[in-house]
This record gives sequence, C-alpha cells and structure tokens, in this order.
Amino acid sequence: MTATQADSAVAGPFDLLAPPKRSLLRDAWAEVRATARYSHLLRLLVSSSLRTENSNTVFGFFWWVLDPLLQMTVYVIFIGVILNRAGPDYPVFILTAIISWELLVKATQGATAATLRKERAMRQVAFPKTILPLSQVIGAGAHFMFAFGVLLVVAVPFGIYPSAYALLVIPIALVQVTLTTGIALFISALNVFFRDTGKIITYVFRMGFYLSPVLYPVTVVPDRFRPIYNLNPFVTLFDAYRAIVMEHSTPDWSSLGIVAGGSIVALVLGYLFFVRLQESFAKLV
Amino acid sequence: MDGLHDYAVVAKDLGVKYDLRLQRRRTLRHTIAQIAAGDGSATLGRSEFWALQGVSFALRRGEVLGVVGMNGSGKSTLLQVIAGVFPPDAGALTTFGREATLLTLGTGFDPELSGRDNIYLGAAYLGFSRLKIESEIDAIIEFSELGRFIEAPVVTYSSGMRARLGFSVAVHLEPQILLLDEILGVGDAGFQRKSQEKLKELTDRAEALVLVSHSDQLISRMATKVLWLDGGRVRHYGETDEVLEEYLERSYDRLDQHQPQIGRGPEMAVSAQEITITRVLHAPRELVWRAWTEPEQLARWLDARVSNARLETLTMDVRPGGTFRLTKVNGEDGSEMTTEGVYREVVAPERLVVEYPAEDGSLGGAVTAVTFTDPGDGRTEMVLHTTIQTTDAMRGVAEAELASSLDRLAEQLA
Repeated sequence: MTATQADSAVAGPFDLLAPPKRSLLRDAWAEVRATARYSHLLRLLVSSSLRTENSNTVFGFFWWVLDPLLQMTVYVIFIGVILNRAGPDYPVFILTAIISWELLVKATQGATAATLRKERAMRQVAFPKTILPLSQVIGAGAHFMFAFGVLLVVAVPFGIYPSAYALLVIPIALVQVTLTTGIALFISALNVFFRDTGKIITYVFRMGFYLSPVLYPVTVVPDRFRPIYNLNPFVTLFDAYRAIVMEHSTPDWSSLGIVAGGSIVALVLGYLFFVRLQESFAKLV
Repeated sequence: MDGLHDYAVVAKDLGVKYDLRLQRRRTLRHTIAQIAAGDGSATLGRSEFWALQGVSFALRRGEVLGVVGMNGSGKSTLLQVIAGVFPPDAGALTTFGREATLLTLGTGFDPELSGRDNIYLGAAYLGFSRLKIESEIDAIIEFSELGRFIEAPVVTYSSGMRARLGFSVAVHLEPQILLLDEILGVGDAGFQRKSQEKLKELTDRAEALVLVSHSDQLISRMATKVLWLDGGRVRHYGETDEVLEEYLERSYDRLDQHQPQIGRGPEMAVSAQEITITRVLHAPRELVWRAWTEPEQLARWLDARVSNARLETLTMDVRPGGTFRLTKVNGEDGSEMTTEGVYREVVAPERLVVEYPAEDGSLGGAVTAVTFTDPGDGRTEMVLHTTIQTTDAMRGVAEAELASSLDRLAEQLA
C-alpha cells in the first residue's frame, strides 16, 4: 500500500502539518536551548563522573593531587637528574604545562568515552547529546583548577610564592576550555563513526606533548622554525600560565587574544560538527 | 474536522532514513578501501535504507495506538521518532508540545552510583526537573522495595533488583504521551502484580499511548486503533479488530509458505508449546555436527537478523554441563540480553540437547534437542524438537526464527 492510499484512509489535521524548517544553525540553537533545559542532568553527570572516577582506588580523591605530581616527578627524574639539563625551578616550570596539557587530554578522552558509553540512552531518550562531552570538559576543568592550587603550593619550596597574578588563571583557563571544548566535541562525534579516532588521538596527543613547550622552553626551538612553531596555541597558553605563576607578570594579552579568537572559532565549528552528526548516533545499529 | 486539541500525536508521510555507509564498527580502513576501489559511487545508490516510509496516522487524546509487525518492520524506529530521539527525514510529526517518553528500564544508569543517585540520574535523562524528582523520590524508593540497599552501588544489585529500580523510576514520572515497547514485567509474582497495577494507572492517566507488542491478545485488549507495519510501510491502519484479524491471518500464511522451502521431505508439526522441525540436509553427518558445535560455523547460519543476536558475542563450551551464551539486542529499546543455555547431552555426532534456565527472559525453561541420523546415502536427517514456555503468538515468532536459521543451514551445507 502506498503512502497516499494510507493517507486517504486516515482522518486527521494533516493540512496543518508542515515539515519543520531545518538548518544546521537552527538545530544548533535548539541544542543550546535544550542544554539549558537539561542543565540539571549536566550537573548530575559532572558530579557523578567526578565521584566515580577514583571510587575503586585506595587513595580516592588523593589522586587529584598525585596524578600531576607523579607525572612531574617522572620528567624531573628523567630530564633533571639523568640528563642533568634543568634549572632549579624546573619542576614548577614543567608542572605548570603538565596540568594544562592534562586538561586537554582528560577532557577529550573523557568526552570520547562518555559519548560512546551512553549509546543506549541516546537510542531511547531525546536529550541534548552535547551534554555528554560537555560534562567531561567541565570535570576536566575542575581537575585543572584544583591542580593549579596544588601547583601554587608546590612552587613555594622553589622560592616561587603565589601572587595576585595567579588570579589571571581564570581568563587564561577560559580560553583553553573554549579551545578544548571545540576539540572534544569534534573528536567525540567523529569517534562514534570511526572508532579509530579515539586510538589515533592518543598518539596525536603524545606527539603534541613533545611538540609543545612542556619540557623545554620555547627558546630551544631554532629561530627559523619559530613562526610555524608559534602557530601551536599551547605555546601561547603555556607562556601565559608561566607568566602568572613564575614571573608574577601579566600574560602577553595580544597573543592570548588571537588564541582566544581562534578558540571561539574552534568551539563553534566543533559544536556545529557534533550537532550535524548527532542525530545519526541513535541510528547506528 | 476536529479541533487540534483533540489530537495527541499526528504523523504525516513520516519517513526515517538510515545511512548504511555510516554504520557502526566501520573503520577508516574500510571506508578508505571502499573509496580506493572506486566503490563510492556504486554504493551510493544503495547507501540509504528507509526504516519508515509514508507513515501517516492521527491519534486522539485518550486513544491507544497498537503497533504490530514482524521484527525489523520499523516498530521501534517509530517509537524512537515519536520520542524525539531523532527527527523524521521526511514528512512531519507533532505531539503538540507534549513530552512523549519511551518507557525503559534503567536508561542512563551508572552502576558505580547508589540506587538513590541513579534515580536522580535516570529521571534527569528522561527530562524531569529536579523538583519533580525530589517530590517523587520517596515514592520511587518505597515502590522499588529496595529498602536500605538504595544507598548501595547499583553494581552490587542482582538483576532483579536493578529491574525493580528501573521500573520504579520509569512508572513514577508520568509522561504525557507514553510509548510502550511490550508490557514490562519484572520481579517476583508480588512485584509483578503491583507493577501491572501501576502501569495500568499510568496508561489510564497518559493522554495517549502507543504500544508495540507481539501479543495479539494485549493489542486487542488495549488498543483503540492498530497500525500494521510491514517493511517500514503501513500495511494497514484502522480499527483494532479489522487490522488485527488480517495481520494474524497473514502471519500464519507466512509460516505455511515456509514449508515448500524446507528441503526434501519437510515436515513441520506444531503443537501447543512444542515445535518440531525436520530437515534432510545434503551433507554427511560429521559436517552437520560441526555446523552445530563450532562457534565460527554456527555463527554463519544462525539468523542474526531475526532475533537481533550479536554473533560476535557467541561463546560455546560444547560438553555436558558446558554453557552456550549469546547476547541479543532488543530491537525495540536497544537493551541487551544474554541468552545462556546449558548443554545437557552431547553425543557426537548424533544428539545435542540444550536447556535454557527457567529465569531466562525469552527462552525461559526451553529445552531444545537436535538429533542427527544417517540414512546411509551421504545425507543427514535432522530433527529439531523444542519445548518453549510461551504464548501462542510468540510461538509463531519463535518458529519462524528457527525455520529461517535452518534454511540458512541447509543452504550453507548444500
């Protein structure tokens, strides 16, 4: 039986039913409004993922402190002790960048996993799916702010005392979270279709770690590579964090402004990309 | 024409499309290989699959729409699109601003969290406000009969406790339009009675109900209208008795049509709760035995489409007392269920008996025995006998599934 035949047999207010106008921007706006309506779920997802991540470990919440410190120790032993190529405040220098890099990695990997894990819910309930990656980014942001406090304490024995400049972490971190959200949305949506993405990204991050000035200052990069090297937004971000923690000065606002602009573009593109793909998530059987 | 306020759900020429190129477990390698082989344009024409096409119906407030059809006919897709899980790809659908919610057990639960936390989480996924949840939480906890266990992580619950918790959350939230995929029955007899009562209350209070079920008795008892889906299209839509009668007639016709395909000397004798299927296979008995006892062989002919089995989850330990495990995906709500059988008799290459424990959902208490005899001409006669605790309507489905799998086995061995 064709649709028209079925149609004629059905009485109903069909004349009033017009197919809704749809466009990517409309869909994105609808997603934003739905997120506001589901902010309660977003809060629950953030708090539950923060509570359960270490629930089976002996140290529990203590891992929030241990994670960055152990990472720092590994590199301090490797580079500072074995290669003997580090200044006295080297631990603080690398810890500043490590916690910032961890924000990127934790948020993206968490978002990728969370989006996959809730497949069943996505197939059964209509909820704004962007809140799955968003909850992970927010959780990683909370980790970062905590770790930043730890950093300020760890810096004291090295003769670096906290100053009011440390409060500038808020605008700098906002820029980074904007950028990170864009990346996390993009990667987690892509990974639903190509499961290779999550695996590849692990190696991309590892390479990015060494290509960014985490363990070394920018000055070791030869001048002729500098214009390309500086395209990496983390060069600016690490610089900014180190300025407020170690040098008690303001960050380079003009560079940070450019990175902020780029981050907003990344966020918008990542969001649109996720929204474009998300209606197909529930159809992947 | 009636006023709009009389209607709860209206769909017009509804279509839902699946893009086959974007299916799960695709890897980049696969896609790149396809493009490299110049296959991109060749597959483009067949890359779409319309799970629903041209579906129109108008459901008034207070009405119950029963949806019937074979597995894979688009019933669950219809519920998903009404629930707003994805928008229609063609046509239009409206619920006039009402929330339409699919009743599912434990959607969004996080097993690491306590029962109480999961009530909050599950209800939030369904879009209920913090206020609504807080006003209901005591009633939900009491209904679940979980007592002090409500503070324990859900991971420590038995499957029965989990189901009770999920059910309690689902039935306390009262969506305006209720979408039901089979009537859920969980827990022991006492809890089941209580849950049926609550469900009745819920369906009475909902402004409209869409019910998918394989049970014709249930549909005939509850539905005011029936929509029969066949291959994603409306086969028949109208008054319950009229559509149901035709649907049942066709279902039995379909089973009869199976007979000529059964191979040489087929015989299909069906009694109330028993199914016996006999096939003569053109292959020696050892080969047939291997087809039944080696996982990679079994996976080739078990018809995964019908029961939505995930063949990659198949594990089997073929010895008396060994287990047979296979995870199936419920086509309607996407939940996964693992069927677990125990080999009772393993006599190579003559007889194989599997028993499914009574608590198993779909095959509860079923015993399947397969006997292979060698008439001495290189062929094998196979007799499958199964006893299954199920309703008449479900027996038809189970039988069609078995027949379809055995057809594939016959083809494979031919």
